[in-house]
Amino acid sequence: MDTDLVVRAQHGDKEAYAFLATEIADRFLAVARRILRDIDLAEDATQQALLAIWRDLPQLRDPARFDAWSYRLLVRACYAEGRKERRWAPNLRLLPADEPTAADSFDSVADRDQLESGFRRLSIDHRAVVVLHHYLDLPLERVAELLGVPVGTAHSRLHYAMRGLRAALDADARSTAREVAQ
Amino acid sequence: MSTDRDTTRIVRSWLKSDQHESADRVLDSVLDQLDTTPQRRAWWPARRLPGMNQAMRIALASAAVVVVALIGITLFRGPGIGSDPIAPTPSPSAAPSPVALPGAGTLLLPGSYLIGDPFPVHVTVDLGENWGVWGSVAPDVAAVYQETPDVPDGRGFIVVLVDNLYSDPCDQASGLMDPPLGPTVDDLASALANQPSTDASEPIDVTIDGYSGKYLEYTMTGITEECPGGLVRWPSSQGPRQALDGEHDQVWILDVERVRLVIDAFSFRGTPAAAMTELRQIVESMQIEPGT
Repeated sequence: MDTDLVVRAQHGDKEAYAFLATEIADRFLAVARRILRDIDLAEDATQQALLAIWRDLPQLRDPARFDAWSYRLLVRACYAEGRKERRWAPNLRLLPADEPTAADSFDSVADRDQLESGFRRLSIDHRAVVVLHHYLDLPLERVAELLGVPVGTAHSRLHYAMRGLRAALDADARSTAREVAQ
Repeated sequence: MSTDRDTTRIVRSWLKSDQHESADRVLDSVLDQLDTTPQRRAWWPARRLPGMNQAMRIALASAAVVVVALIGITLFRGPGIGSDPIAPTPSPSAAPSPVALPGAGTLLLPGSYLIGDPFPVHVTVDLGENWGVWGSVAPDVAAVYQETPDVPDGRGFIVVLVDNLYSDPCDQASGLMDPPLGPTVDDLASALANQPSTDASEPIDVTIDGYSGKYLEYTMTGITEECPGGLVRWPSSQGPRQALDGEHDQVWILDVERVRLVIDAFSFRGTPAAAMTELRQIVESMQIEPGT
C-alpha cells in the first residue's frame, strides 16, 4: 500500500482515502463474505470497516502498517456483524449454494453443503483464521499479527477449525456409505 | 475418511471458487458518508514519519550533535555577544540541567528532560539512548518512547491526568462514566483494574520522589473477542487512550498535592526484559514537583 496515500488520508484528504478504499473494497468484501457466509452481512461489515478506517486513520501510529491495521478493523466489523447474525438469524437472506463449475475440484456437491454447515458452526474467531490463511494465503504469523493474537493461538484456532471441517466432510462420507450399503 | 491434506485442498478450493462480488455499491455509500463522518484525532499529536529507519535516526542524531556544537559556540561567546540565553540542549554527556521536552517527532539525545508547562505537574526524567517524543506536552498529557512505540517490542511512557473513564471501554460512543469517576488515587486504581480484557495486579502502595499513591500492572488479553471495536480507557485532549492486545502497562497513580498524576509505562510481548527494567527505573527515579 502506498504510504503517501495513507498519510494524506490521515490528514483528511478525501481523494487519497477514496483511492485507498477503491483499492481494498472488493478484497474486503470477498473476505467478509467468506467469514460471514452472508452477502448482506458482508456488505455491512465492509462498509463499517471502510468507515472505521476513515474515522480512525489519524490514530494509526505507523502508516506502513496500514494493511495489517485495516484487516484488523475488517475482522472486528465481521465480529460485530456476526453478533447480528446470531440475533437475527431467522430473517437472514443466506447465500445461494454455489453452482459447481467445470474447474471445480470438489469431490462432491455434498462436500459444499457439509463445508457450509461445518463452517457456520465455527466461531468468527476460527472462521477468520481459516479465511485469512487459506483464502488470502497469509502465513500464520501474519494472521496472528492481523488478529492481534499470539502465533500459537492462531495455530490452535486453525487446527480446531480444520478438525471441525474435516469432521463435517467425514460425516457426509459416512452418510453416503450407509446409503450405498442400504 | 479424509486426510488432513484432502481437507485442506477441499477447503481451499471451496474458499477460492470464483464468486466475485463488486463492492461498488458499498464504496459509493461509504464515500457519500465521509462528509458526515469526522475523523477522530490521534491520541498522539504526531506520528513518526514512515520509513524512519536506523540510518535516519543516526542522521538526525548527528544533526542534533551539530546543533549542540553551534549552541555551545554561541554560549561560550560570553554575555553581550550572543542573543538571549538559549536553554542547554542535550548532548551525549549528561546535561547539567533539564531541557524542556521538545515537540512530537523529535529524537532525543541522552540527557535530562523536563515535562513542564502547560502540564500542571513538573516531571524531570533522565533518558538514555534511542528515546523520542511521541506526544508533545499538552495541558493533560505528554508521551515519549524508546526505539518504537508499537507492537511487537515497543516501549515508552505517558504522563497524563485522568479525570474520568469511558463508561463502556468497548464503545467509545458510550461516553464517560456518569456519575464520574471519584477523585482519589484509589478510585482510579480500582476502576482501571476492573476494565474488560485487563488482567491486573492488586494495586499496592508506592512512593515516587516523596509523593505517595498506588502502583498496578496490567496486561491486555482478548480485546478482539471482548471488545471487537477496540478498547479505550480514558479521554484526553489528544484523543482516547487506546489499549492494544498484548500490551503490558506498569501504572503509577500519584497524589501530587491534590493533582492525580498517572504515569503509564507501556510495553509489549516482544519488549526485551532489560528494556522493561530500564523503563521502570526511569519512572522510579523521576523528580516531581507541583506546577506553579
